[in-house]
Amino acid sequence: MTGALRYEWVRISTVRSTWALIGLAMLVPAGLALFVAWLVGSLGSEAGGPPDGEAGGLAGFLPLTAAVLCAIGAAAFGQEYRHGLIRITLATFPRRTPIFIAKVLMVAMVIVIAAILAITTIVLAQALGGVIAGTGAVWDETAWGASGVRAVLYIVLFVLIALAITALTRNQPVGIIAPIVLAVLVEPIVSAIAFVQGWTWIDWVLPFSGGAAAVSTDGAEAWGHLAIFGCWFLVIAIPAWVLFVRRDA
Amino acid sequence: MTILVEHLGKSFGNVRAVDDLSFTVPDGVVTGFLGPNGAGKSTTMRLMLGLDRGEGRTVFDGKPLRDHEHPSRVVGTHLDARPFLPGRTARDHLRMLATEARLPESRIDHVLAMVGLAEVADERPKSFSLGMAQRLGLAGAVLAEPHALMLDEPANGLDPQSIQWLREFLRHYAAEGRAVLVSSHLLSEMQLMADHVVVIARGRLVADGTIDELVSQRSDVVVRCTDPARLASLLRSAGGTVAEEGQALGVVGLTTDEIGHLAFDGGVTVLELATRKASLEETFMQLTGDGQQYAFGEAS
Repeated sequence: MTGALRYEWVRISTVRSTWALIGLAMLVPAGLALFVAWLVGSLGSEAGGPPDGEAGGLAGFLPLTAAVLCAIGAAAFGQEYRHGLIRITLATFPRRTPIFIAKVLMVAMVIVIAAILAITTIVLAQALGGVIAGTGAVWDETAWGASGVRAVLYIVLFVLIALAITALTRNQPVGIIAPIVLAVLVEPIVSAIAFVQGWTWIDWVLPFSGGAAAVSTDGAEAWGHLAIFGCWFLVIAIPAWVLFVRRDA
Repeated sequence: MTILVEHLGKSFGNVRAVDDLSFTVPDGVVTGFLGPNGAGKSTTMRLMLGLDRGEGRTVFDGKPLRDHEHPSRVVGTHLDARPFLPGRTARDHLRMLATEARLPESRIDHVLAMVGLAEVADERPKSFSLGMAQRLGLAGAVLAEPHALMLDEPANGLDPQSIQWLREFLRHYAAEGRAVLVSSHLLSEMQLMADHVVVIARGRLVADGTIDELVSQRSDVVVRCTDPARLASLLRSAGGTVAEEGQALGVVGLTTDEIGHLAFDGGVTVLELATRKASLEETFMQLTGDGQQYAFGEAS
Protein backbone atom coordinates (compact mmCIF):
# COMPACT_ATOMS: atom_id res chain seq x y z
CA MET A 1 0.00 0.00 0.00
CA THR A 2 2.84 2.40 0.78
CA GLY A 3 4.29 1.68 -2.66
CA ALA A 4 0.97 2.59 -4.26
CA LEU A 5 0.79 5.78 -2.20
CA ARG A 6 4.33 6.76 -3.25
CA TYR A 7 3.43 6.02 -6.87
CA GLU A 8 0.33 8.18 -6.63
CA TRP A 9 2.23 11.02 -4.98
CA VAL A 10 4.80 11.10 -7.79
CA ARG A 11 1.99 10.76 -10.36
CA ILE A 12 -0.02 13.68 -8.99
CA SER A 13 2.92 15.93 -8.12
CA THR A 14 4.82 15.64 -11.41
CA VAL A 15 2.20 17.08 -13.71
CA ARG A 16 2.05 20.85 -14.08
CA SER A 17 -1.73 20.84 -14.28
CA THR A 18 -1.98 19.85 -10.60
CA TRP A 19 -0.10 22.94 -9.49
CA ALA A 20 -1.78 25.17 -12.07
CA LEU A 21 -5.22 24.07 -10.88
CA ILE A 22 -4.32 24.62 -7.24
CA GLY A 23 -3.11 28.10 -8.19
CA LEU A 24 -6.31 28.78 -10.10
CA ALA A 25 -8.41 27.47 -7.21
CA MET A 26 -6.67 29.96 -4.96
CA LEU A 27 -6.73 32.96 -7.29
CA VAL A 28 -10.08 32.83 -9.12
CA PRO A 29 -12.43 32.52 -6.10
CA ALA A 30 -10.20 34.92 -4.14
CA GLY A 31 -10.36 37.49 -6.95
CA LEU A 32 -14.12 37.17 -7.03
CA ALA A 33 -14.28 37.39 -3.22
CA LEU A 34 -12.16 40.55 -3.32
CA PHE A 35 -14.50 42.14 -5.85
CA VAL A 36 -17.66 41.15 -3.95
CA ALA A 37 -16.22 42.33 -0.63
CA TRP A 38 -15.24 45.66 -2.17
CA LEU A 39 -18.65 46.04 -3.83
CA VAL A 40 -20.59 45.15 -0.69
CA GLY A 41 -18.33 47.36 1.42
CA SER A 42 -18.83 50.24 -0.96
CA LEU A 43 -22.60 49.84 -1.07
CA GLY A 44 -23.00 49.26 2.68
CA SER A 45 -25.40 47.01 4.58
CA GLU A 46 -28.39 49.13 3.54
CA ALA A 47 -27.80 47.94 -0.03
CA GLY A 48 -28.21 44.29 0.95
CA GLY A 49 -24.71 43.42 2.15
CA PRO A 50 -23.95 41.71 5.44
CA PRO A 51 -24.27 43.78 8.64
CA ASP A 52 -21.34 46.10 9.37
CA GLY A 53 -18.47 44.30 11.02
CA GLU A 54 -19.36 40.93 9.46
CA ALA A 55 -17.93 39.31 6.44
CA GLY A 56 -19.97 36.70 4.63
CA GLY A 57 -20.38 34.57 1.60
CA LEU A 58 -17.54 32.05 2.01
CA ALA A 59 -20.03 29.26 1.25
CA GLY A 60 -20.86 30.97 -2.04
CA PHE A 61 -17.26 30.72 -3.29
CA LEU A 62 -16.70 27.07 -2.38
CA PRO A 63 -18.48 25.49 -5.38
CA LEU A 64 -16.25 27.55 -7.70
CA THR A 65 -13.16 26.40 -5.80
CA ALA A 66 -14.34 22.79 -5.94
CA ALA A 67 -15.21 23.05 -9.64
CA VAL A 68 -11.67 24.14 -10.46
CA LEU A 69 -10.10 21.41 -8.31
CA CYS A 70 -12.32 18.59 -9.56
CA ALA A 71 -10.10 18.35 -12.64
CA ILE A 72 -7.39 17.00 -10.30
CA GLY A 73 -9.78 14.30 -9.11
CA ALA A 74 -10.85 13.39 -12.63
CA ALA A 75 -7.21 13.20 -13.77
CA ALA A 76 -6.45 10.44 -11.23
CA PHE A 77 -8.12 7.91 -13.52
CA GLY A 78 -8.83 9.97 -16.64
CA GLN A 79 -5.23 10.70 -17.61
CA GLU A 80 -4.26 7.06 -17.15
CA TYR A 81 -7.04 5.71 -19.35
CA ARG A 82 -6.56 8.43 -21.95
CA HIS A 83 -2.84 7.83 -22.40
CA GLY A 84 -2.73 4.07 -21.77
CA LEU A 85 -0.77 4.52 -18.55
CA ILE A 86 -3.31 2.40 -16.72
CA ARG A 87 -1.71 -0.74 -18.18
CA ILE A 88 1.68 0.24 -16.76
CA THR A 89 0.09 1.11 -13.42
CA LEU A 90 -1.75 -2.20 -13.18
CA ALA A 91 1.23 -4.23 -14.36
CA THR A 92 3.23 -2.54 -11.59
CA PHE A 93 0.43 -3.00 -9.04
CA PRO A 94 -1.52 -6.11 -10.11
CA ARG A 95 -3.66 -5.95 -6.97
CA ARG A 96 -6.08 -3.28 -7.99
CA THR A 97 -7.83 -2.38 -4.74
CA PRO A 98 -4.72 -0.84 -3.13
CA ILE A 99 -4.11 1.37 -6.17
CA PHE A 100 -7.78 2.47 -6.16
CA ILE A 101 -7.56 3.34 -2.45
CA ALA A 102 -4.20 5.06 -2.97
CA LYS A 103 -5.69 7.27 -5.69
CA VAL A 104 -8.59 8.27 -3.43
CA LEU A 105 -6.34 8.94 -0.44
CA MET A 106 -3.70 10.88 -2.36
CA VAL A 107 -6.25 13.05 -4.18
CA ALA A 108 -8.02 13.67 -0.85
CA MET A 109 -4.75 14.66 0.81
CA VAL A 110 -3.75 17.06 -1.95
CA ILE A 111 -7.24 18.57 -2.06
CA VAL A 112 -7.31 19.09 1.72
CA ILE A 113 -4.16 21.20 1.40
CA ALA A 114 -5.44 22.97 -1.72
CA ALA A 115 -8.80 23.67 -0.04
CA ILE A 116 -7.14 25.12 3.07
CA LEU A 117 -4.98 27.36 0.88
CA ALA A 118 -7.96 28.40 -1.25
CA ILE A 119 -10.17 29.18 1.76
CA THR A 120 -7.35 31.15 3.36
CA THR A 121 -6.90 33.25 0.22
CA ILE A 122 -10.67 33.83 0.00
CA VAL A 123 -10.75 35.05 3.61
CA LEU A 124 -7.71 37.28 3.00
CA ALA A 125 -9.29 38.62 -0.21
CA GLN A 126 -12.56 39.39 1.61
CA ALA A 127 -10.63 41.28 4.27
CA LEU A 128 -8.62 43.16 1.65
CA GLY A 129 -11.85 44.03 -0.20
CA GLY A 130 -13.19 45.59 2.98
CA VAL A 131 -9.99 47.58 3.44
CA ILE A 132 -10.15 48.87 -0.14
CA ALA A 133 -13.83 49.74 0.28
CA GLY A 134 -12.96 51.71 3.42
CA THR A 135 -14.91 49.53 5.86
CA GLY A 136 -11.78 47.91 7.29
CA ALA A 137 -10.61 44.32 7.36
CA VAL A 138 -13.36 41.94 8.37
CA TRP A 139 -12.52 38.28 8.92
CA ASP A 140 -15.03 35.65 7.84
CA GLU A 141 -15.53 33.60 10.99
CA THR A 142 -17.24 30.78 9.09
CA ALA A 143 -13.79 29.84 7.79
CA TRP A 144 -12.61 28.77 11.25
CA GLY A 145 -13.59 25.91 13.54
CA ALA A 146 -16.15 23.27 12.64
CA SER A 147 -17.64 25.23 9.74
CA GLY A 148 -14.16 25.63 8.27
CA VAL A 149 -13.58 21.88 8.57
CA ARG A 150 -16.90 21.25 6.81
CA ALA A 151 -15.92 23.69 4.06
CA VAL A 152 -12.72 21.75 3.43
CA LEU A 153 -14.55 18.41 3.49
CA TYR A 154 -17.19 19.76 1.10
CA ILE A 155 -14.46 20.57 -1.45
CA VAL A 156 -12.76 17.23 -0.90
CA LEU A 157 -15.99 15.26 -1.41
CA PHE A 158 -16.89 17.33 -4.49
CA VAL A 159 -13.51 16.45 -6.04
CA LEU A 160 -13.74 12.80 -5.00
CA ILE A 161 -17.13 12.55 -6.71
CA ALA A 162 -15.40 13.77 -9.90
CA LEU A 163 -12.76 11.07 -9.35
CA ALA A 164 -15.41 8.38 -8.84
CA ILE A 165 -17.42 9.42 -11.92
CA THR A 166 -14.23 9.26 -14.01
CA ALA A 167 -13.33 5.85 -12.62
CA LEU A 168 -16.85 4.66 -13.40
CA THR A 169 -17.01 6.04 -16.93
CA ARG A 170 -13.27 6.02 -17.82
CA ASN A 171 -13.93 9.41 -19.35
CA GLN A 172 -12.11 12.44 -17.96
CA PRO A 173 -14.30 15.19 -19.51
CA VAL A 174 -17.42 13.48 -18.14
CA GLY A 175 -15.76 13.28 -14.73
CA ILE A 176 -15.09 17.01 -14.74
CA ILE A 177 -18.30 18.24 -16.34
CA ALA A 178 -20.90 15.98 -14.69
CA PRO A 179 -20.43 17.23 -11.09
CA ILE A 180 -20.34 20.85 -12.25
CA VAL A 181 -23.48 20.49 -14.37
CA LEU A 182 -25.24 18.71 -11.53
CA ALA A 183 -24.21 21.30 -8.95
CA VAL A 184 -24.74 24.42 -11.05
CA LEU A 185 -27.59 23.52 -13.40
CA VAL A 186 -29.54 20.38 -12.57
CA GLU A 187 -29.83 20.66 -8.80
CA PRO A 188 -30.84 24.37 -8.77
CA ILE A 189 -33.63 23.54 -11.23
CA VAL A 190 -34.74 20.60 -9.08
CA SER A 191 -34.51 22.79 -5.98
CA ALA A 192 -36.65 25.46 -7.63
CA ILE A 193 -39.29 22.90 -8.49
CA ALA A 194 -39.07 21.52 -4.95
CA PHE A 195 -39.50 25.04 -3.55
CA VAL A 196 -42.67 25.51 -5.55
CA GLN A 197 -43.91 22.07 -4.54
CA GLY A 198 -43.00 22.65 -0.91
CA TRP A 199 -40.60 19.73 -0.72
CA THR A 200 -38.52 20.98 2.20
CA TRP A 201 -36.62 17.70 2.43
CA ILE A 202 -35.01 18.14 -0.96
CA ASP A 203 -31.64 19.35 0.41
CA TRP A 204 -31.41 16.03 2.26
CA VAL A 205 -31.54 14.14 -1.02
CA LEU A 206 -29.62 16.14 -3.60
CA PRO A 207 -25.86 15.61 -3.25
CA PHE A 208 -24.44 19.00 -4.13
CA SER A 209 -27.27 21.07 -2.64
CA GLY A 210 -26.86 19.01 0.51
CA GLY A 211 -23.12 19.53 0.40
CA ALA A 212 -23.59 23.28 0.10
CA ALA A 213 -26.08 23.16 2.99
CA ALA A 214 -23.36 21.49 5.08
CA VAL A 215 -21.39 24.73 4.81
CA SER A 216 -24.25 27.22 5.09
CA THR A 217 -25.91 25.62 8.14
CA ASP A 218 -24.65 24.80 11.62
CA GLY A 219 -24.47 22.02 14.14
CA ALA A 220 -25.89 18.54 13.68
CA GLU A 221 -27.87 19.57 10.62
CA ALA A 222 -24.70 20.65 8.86
CA TRP A 223 -22.87 17.44 9.74
CA GLY A 224 -25.91 15.45 8.59
CA HIS A 225 -25.83 17.16 5.22
CA LEU A 226 -22.09 16.46 4.96
CA ALA A 227 -22.63 12.79 5.84
CA ILE A 228 -25.22 12.45 3.08
CA PHE A 229 -22.84 14.16 0.64
CA GLY A 230 -20.25 11.56 1.68
CA CYS A 231 -22.78 8.78 1.09
CA TRP A 232 -23.29 10.06 -2.44
CA PHE A 233 -19.56 9.73 -3.01
CA LEU A 234 -19.76 6.12 -1.82
CA VAL A 235 -22.79 5.43 -4.03
CA ILE A 236 -20.63 6.27 -7.06
CA ALA A 237 -17.27 5.09 -5.75
CA ILE A 238 -18.30 1.55 -4.77
CA PRO A 239 -19.52 0.49 -8.24
CA ALA A 240 -16.52 2.32 -9.73
CA TRP A 241 -14.21 0.26 -7.51
CA VAL A 242 -16.01 -3.00 -8.35
CA LEU A 243 -15.70 -2.28 -12.08
CA PHE A 244 -12.09 -1.15 -11.72
CA VAL A 245 -11.21 -4.48 -10.12
CA ARG A 246 -13.13 -6.59 -12.65
CA ARG A 247 -12.85 -5.05 -16.05
CA ASP A 248 -10.07 -5.02 -18.65
CA ALA A 249 -7.41 -2.36 -18.31
CA MET B 1 12.58 -17.23 -14.33
CA THR B 2 10.39 -19.33 -16.58
CA ILE B 3 6.95 -18.02 -17.50
CA LEU B 4 4.27 -20.69 -17.79
CA VAL B 5 1.16 -19.79 -19.77
CA GLU B 6 -1.70 -22.22 -19.19
CA HIS B 7 -4.97 -22.41 -21.13
CA LEU B 8 -5.47 -18.69 -21.68
CA GLY B 9 -8.77 -17.75 -23.27
CA LYS B 10 -10.61 -14.55 -24.03
CA SER B 11 -13.64 -13.59 -26.10
CA PHE B 12 -14.81 -10.20 -27.27
CA GLY B 13 -18.49 -10.72 -27.96
CA ASN B 14 -18.70 -13.53 -30.48
CA VAL B 15 -15.04 -13.27 -31.43
CA ARG B 16 -12.72 -15.77 -29.78
CA ALA B 17 -9.56 -13.67 -29.51
CA VAL B 18 -7.47 -16.18 -27.54
CA ASP B 19 -8.39 -19.85 -27.42
CA ASP B 20 -6.90 -22.36 -24.97
CA LEU B 21 -3.41 -21.01 -25.44
CA SER B 22 -0.56 -22.63 -23.52
CA PHE B 23 3.17 -22.19 -23.93
CA THR B 24 6.34 -21.61 -21.98
CA VAL B 25 8.72 -18.67 -22.08
CA PRO B 26 12.02 -20.21 -20.99
CA ASP B 27 14.76 -18.29 -19.27
CA GLY B 28 18.12 -17.68 -20.87
CA VAL B 29 16.77 -17.08 -24.38
CA VAL B 30 14.77 -14.51 -26.31
CA THR B 31 11.35 -15.87 -27.21
CA GLY B 32 9.71 -14.35 -30.26
CA PHE B 33 5.94 -14.07 -30.21
CA LEU B 34 4.67 -14.14 -33.78
CA GLY B 35 1.31 -14.00 -35.46
CA PRO B 36 -0.52 -12.03 -38.13
CA ASN B 37 -2.51 -8.90 -37.36
CA GLY B 38 -5.43 -9.71 -35.09
CA ALA B 39 -3.94 -13.07 -34.08
CA GLY B 40 -4.30 -12.19 -30.40
CA LYS B 41 -0.69 -11.40 -29.46
CA SER B 42 -1.41 -8.19 -27.56
CA THR B 43 -4.49 -9.67 -25.90
CA THR B 44 -2.40 -12.67 -24.82
CA MET B 45 0.23 -10.40 -23.30
CA ARG B 46 -2.42 -8.45 -21.42
CA LEU B 47 -3.99 -11.69 -20.18
CA MET B 48 -0.58 -12.92 -19.01
CA LEU B 49 -0.17 -9.78 -16.92
CA GLY B 50 -3.72 -9.86 -15.54
CA LEU B 51 -4.59 -6.62 -17.33
CA ASP B 52 -7.45 -8.28 -19.20
CA ARG B 53 -9.85 -10.68 -17.56
CA GLY B 54 -10.14 -14.09 -19.16
CA GLU B 55 -9.63 -17.80 -18.69
CA GLY B 56 -6.47 -19.65 -17.70
CA ARG B 57 -3.49 -18.45 -15.75
CA THR B 58 0.10 -17.36 -16.09
CA VAL B 59 2.72 -18.06 -13.48
CA PHE B 60 6.00 -16.24 -13.08
CA ASP B 61 8.54 -18.28 -11.16
CA GLY B 62 5.79 -20.53 -9.82
CA LYS B 63 3.11 -18.03 -8.89
CA PRO B 64 0.84 -15.41 -10.47
CA LEU B 65 2.26 -11.92 -10.79
CA ARG B 66 -0.18 -10.52 -8.23
CA ASP B 67 1.27 -12.82 -5.55
CA HIS B 68 4.80 -11.46 -5.88
CA GLU B 69 5.94 -8.91 -3.32
CA HIS B 70 7.52 -6.60 -5.92
CA PRO B 71 5.88 -7.25 -9.31
CA SER B 72 8.08 -4.69 -11.06
CA ARG B 73 11.15 -6.77 -10.11
CA VAL B 74 9.46 -9.85 -11.58
CA VAL B 75 8.45 -8.61 -15.03
CA GLY B 76 9.07 -5.41 -16.94
CA THR B 77 6.55 -4.54 -19.63
CA HIS B 78 6.37 -2.32 -22.66
CA LEU B 79 2.99 -2.85 -24.31
CA ASP B 80 2.09 0.50 -25.86
CA ALA B 81 4.05 2.71 -28.22
CA ARG B 82 3.60 5.85 -26.12
CA PRO B 83 2.94 4.68 -22.57
CA PHE B 84 3.44 7.98 -20.79
CA LEU B 85 1.80 11.30 -20.08
CA PRO B 86 2.94 13.86 -22.68
CA GLY B 87 3.24 16.54 -20.00
CA ARG B 88 5.39 14.59 -17.54
CA THR B 89 9.14 14.62 -18.11
CA ALA B 90 10.92 11.41 -19.05
CA ARG B 91 12.76 11.43 -15.72
CA ASP B 92 9.57 11.94 -13.71
CA HIS B 93 7.87 9.16 -15.64
CA LEU B 94 10.64 6.80 -14.56
CA ARG B 95 10.63 8.23 -11.02
CA MET B 96 6.98 7.23 -10.81
CA LEU B 97 7.72 3.70 -11.98
CA ALA B 98 10.68 3.47 -9.59
CA THR B 99 8.52 3.92 -6.50
CA GLU B 100 7.18 0.35 -6.38
CA ALA B 101 10.63 -1.22 -6.16
CA ARG B 102 12.10 1.71 -4.17
CA LEU B 103 14.82 2.30 -6.73
CA PRO B 104 17.40 5.05 -6.22
CA GLU B 105 17.63 8.12 -8.48
CA SER B 106 20.97 6.83 -9.76
CA ARG B 107 19.22 3.85 -11.37
CA ILE B 108 16.99 6.24 -13.32
CA ASP B 109 20.04 8.13 -14.57
CA HIS B 110 21.70 4.85 -15.52
CA VAL B 111 18.70 3.60 -17.51
CA LEU B 112 18.19 6.95 -19.26
CA ALA B 113 21.83 6.92 -20.32
CA MET B 114 21.56 3.30 -21.43
CA VAL B 115 18.68 4.01 -23.84
CA GLY B 116 20.30 7.24 -25.04
CA LEU B 117 17.77 9.65 -23.54
CA ALA B 118 19.99 11.29 -20.90
CA GLU B 119 20.09 14.58 -22.80
CA VAL B 120 16.30 14.82 -22.96
CA ALA B 121 15.62 13.37 -19.51
CA ASP B 122 14.07 16.57 -18.24
CA GLU B 123 12.03 17.28 -21.34
CA ARG B 124 8.37 16.49 -21.76
CA PRO B 125 7.98 13.61 -24.19
CA LYS B 126 5.06 15.06 -26.15
CA SER B 127 7.52 15.94 -28.94
CA PHE B 128 9.39 12.61 -28.81
CA SER B 129 9.60 10.65 -32.05
CA LEU B 130 8.20 7.13 -32.10
CA GLY B 131 11.72 5.78 -31.73
CA MET B 132 12.42 7.94 -28.68
CA ALA B 133 9.05 6.93 -27.21
CA GLN B 134 9.97 3.27 -27.68
CA ARG B 135 13.27 3.85 -25.89
CA LEU B 136 11.48 5.49 -22.96
CA GLY B 137 9.09 2.54 -22.84
CA LEU B 138 12.03 0.15 -22.82
CA ALA B 139 13.72 2.19 -20.08
CA GLY B 140 10.60 1.79 -17.97
CA ALA B 141 10.49 -1.94 -18.62
CA VAL B 142 14.08 -2.61 -17.52
CA LEU B 143 14.14 -0.02 -14.75
CA ALA B 144 13.79 -2.47 -11.85
CA GLU B 145 16.04 -5.07 -13.55
CA PRO B 146 13.16 -7.55 -13.68
CA HIS B 147 13.66 -11.28 -14.07
CA ALA B 148 11.47 -11.26 -17.18
CA LEU B 149 10.67 -8.81 -19.96
CA MET B 150 7.51 -8.65 -22.07
CA LEU B 151 7.74 -6.28 -25.02
CA ASP B 152 5.03 -5.73 -27.62
CA GLU B 153 6.48 -4.61 -30.96
CA PRO B 154 9.45 -2.78 -29.37
CA ALA B 155 11.27 -2.31 -32.69
CA ASN B 156 8.50 -0.27 -34.31
CA GLY B 157 9.80 3.17 -35.23
CA LEU B 158 13.44 2.38 -34.43
CA ASP B 159 16.16 3.13 -36.96
CA PRO B 160 18.51 0.28 -38.04
CA GLN B 161 21.19 1.24 -35.50
CA SER B 162 18.62 1.27 -32.70
CA ILE B 163 17.21 -2.08 -33.81
CA GLN B 164 20.70 -3.55 -33.75
CA TRP B 165 21.24 -2.11 -30.28
CA LEU B 166 17.88 -3.50 -29.12
CA ARG B 167 18.73 -6.95 -30.50
CA GLU B 168 22.07 -7.06 -28.74
CA PHE B 169 20.60 -5.67 -25.53
CA LEU B 170 17.80 -8.25 -25.40
CA ARG B 171 20.09 -11.16 -26.22
CA HIS B 172 22.49 -10.04 -23.49
CA TYR B 173 19.59 -9.56 -21.05
CA ALA B 174 18.33 -13.08 -21.75
CA ALA B 175 21.84 -14.54 -21.57
CA GLU B 176 21.96 -13.47 -17.93
CA GLY B 177 19.31 -16.10 -17.22
CA ARG B 178 16.20 -13.97 -17.72
CA ALA B 179 13.09 -14.70 -19.76
CA VAL B 180 12.41 -12.30 -22.63
CA LEU B 181 9.19 -12.39 -24.67
CA VAL B 182 9.10 -10.10 -27.70
CA SER B 183 6.27 -9.78 -30.18
CA SER B 184 7.11 -8.47 -33.61
CA HIS B 185 6.01 -8.37 -37.20
CA LEU B 186 9.60 -7.99 -38.38
CA LEU B 187 10.33 -11.62 -39.18
CA SER B 188 13.84 -11.03 -40.48
CA GLU B 189 14.64 -9.17 -37.29
CA MET B 190 13.07 -11.90 -35.20
CA GLN B 191 15.22 -14.46 -36.99
CA LEU B 192 18.29 -12.57 -35.79
CA MET B 193 16.97 -11.82 -32.30
CA ALA B 194 14.99 -14.83 -31.10
CA ASP B 195 16.17 -18.31 -30.24
CA HIS B 196 12.71 -19.66 -29.55
CA VAL B 197 9.42 -18.68 -31.16
CA VAL B 198 5.77 -19.06 -30.31
CA VAL B 199 3.47 -18.61 -33.30
CA ILE B 200 -0.26 -18.04 -32.95
CA ALA B 201 -3.06 -17.50 -35.46
CA ARG B 202 -6.67 -16.66 -34.62
CA GLY B 203 -5.83 -16.94 -30.94
CA ARG B 204 -4.58 -20.53 -31.19
CA LEU B 205 -1.06 -21.91 -30.90
CA VAL B 206 0.27 -23.09 -34.25
CA ALA B 207 3.95 -23.56 -33.46
CA ASP B 208 6.26 -23.52 -30.46
CA GLY B 209 9.95 -24.31 -30.70
CA THR B 210 13.35 -23.08 -31.76
CA ILE B 211 13.59 -21.27 -35.08
CA ASP B 212 15.82 -24.08 -36.42
CA GLU B 213 13.20 -26.68 -35.50
CA LEU B 214 10.39 -24.78 -37.15
CA VAL B 215 12.35 -23.95 -40.27
CA SER B 216 13.79 -27.46 -40.68
CA GLN B 217 10.28 -28.96 -40.43
CA ARG B 218 9.37 -26.94 -43.47
CA SER B 219 12.62 -27.41 -45.39
CA ASP B 220 12.96 -29.96 -48.17
CA VAL B 221 15.60 -31.49 -50.44
CA VAL B 222 15.63 -30.54 -54.09
CA VAL B 223 16.85 -33.20 -56.54
CA ARG B 224 17.50 -32.74 -60.25
CA CYS B 225 18.13 -35.99 -62.08
CA THR B 226 17.97 -37.80 -65.44
CA ASP B 227 14.77 -39.73 -64.64
CA PRO B 228 12.52 -37.79 -62.21
CA ALA B 229 9.55 -40.15 -62.54
CA ARG B 230 11.58 -43.23 -61.60
CA LEU B 231 13.35 -41.50 -58.72
CA ALA B 232 10.02 -40.13 -57.42
CA SER B 233 8.67 -43.64 -57.32
CA LEU B 234 11.76 -44.90 -55.44
CA LEU B 235 11.58 -42.05 -52.94
CA ARG B 236 7.87 -42.57 -52.27
CA SER B 237 8.55 -46.26 -51.70
CA ALA B 238 11.15 -45.26 -49.11
CA GLY B 239 8.60 -43.11 -47.24
CA GLY B 240 9.43 -39.70 -48.66
CA THR B 241 6.90 -37.11 -49.74
CA VAL B 242 7.69 -35.97 -53.23
CA ALA B 243 6.53 -32.92 -55.16
CA GLU B 244 7.35 -32.85 -58.85
CA GLU B 245 8.72 -29.49 -59.99
CA GLY B 246 9.44 -29.91 -63.72
CA GLN B 247 12.72 -31.79 -64.06
CA ALA B 248 13.33 -31.47 -60.32
CA LEU B 249 11.77 -33.05 -57.26
CA GLY B 250 11.07 -31.51 -53.88
CA VAL B 251 11.45 -34.16 -51.19
CA VAL B 252 10.37 -34.07 -47.57
CA GLY B 253 11.06 -36.83 -45.07
CA LEU B 254 14.39 -38.08 -46.44
CA THR B 255 17.90 -36.76 -46.02
CA THR B 256 20.28 -35.92 -48.85
CA ASP B 257 22.33 -39.02 -47.97
CA GLU B 258 19.29 -41.30 -48.13
CA ILE B 259 18.19 -39.80 -51.46
CA GLY B 260 21.69 -40.16 -52.90
CA HIS B 261 21.89 -43.84 -51.97
CA LEU B 262 18.38 -44.56 -53.32
CA ALA B 263 19.21 -42.87 -56.63
CA PHE B 264 22.51 -44.75 -56.92
CA ASP B 265 20.88 -48.11 -56.11
CA GLY B 266 18.09 -47.37 -58.63
CA GLY B 267 20.50 -46.37 -61.37
CA VAL B 268 19.31 -42.79 -61.65
CA THR B 269 21.95 -40.17 -62.33
CA VAL B 270 21.68 -37.25 -59.91
CA LEU B 271 22.56 -33.88 -61.40
CA GLU B 272 21.83 -31.75 -58.36
CA LEU B 273 21.07 -32.58 -54.74
CA ALA B 274 20.68 -29.83 -52.15
CA THR B 275 18.80 -28.98 -48.99
CA ARG B 276 16.36 -26.14 -49.62
CA LYS B 277 15.99 -24.32 -46.29
CA ALA B 278 12.77 -22.40 -45.76
CA SER B 279 13.05 -18.85 -44.47
CA LEU B 280 11.29 -17.86 -41.29
CA GLU B 281 8.93 -15.81 -43.42
CA GLU B 282 7.98 -18.82 -45.55
CA THR B 283 7.56 -20.89 -42.42
CA PHE B 284 5.44 -18.16 -40.86
CA MET B 285 3.24 -17.90 -43.94
CA GLN B 286 2.75 -21.66 -44.05
CA LEU B 287 1.97 -21.83 -40.35
CA THR B 288 -0.45 -18.96 -40.16
CA GLY B 289 -2.02 -19.59 -43.56
CA ASP B 290 -5.41 -17.87 -43.58
CA GLY B 291 -4.98 -16.75 -40.00
CA GLN B 292 -4.82 -13.06 -40.84
CA GLN B 293 -8.00 -11.53 -39.48
CA TYR B 294 -8.32 -8.74 -42.04
CA ALA B 295 -6.59 -10.10 -45.13
CA PHE B 296 -5.46 -8.04 -48.11
CA GLY B 297 -6.95 -8.49 -51.56
CA GLU B 298 -4.80 -9.20 -54.62
CA ALA B 299 -1.77 -6.89 -54.85
CA SER B 300 -2.38 -6.26 -58.54
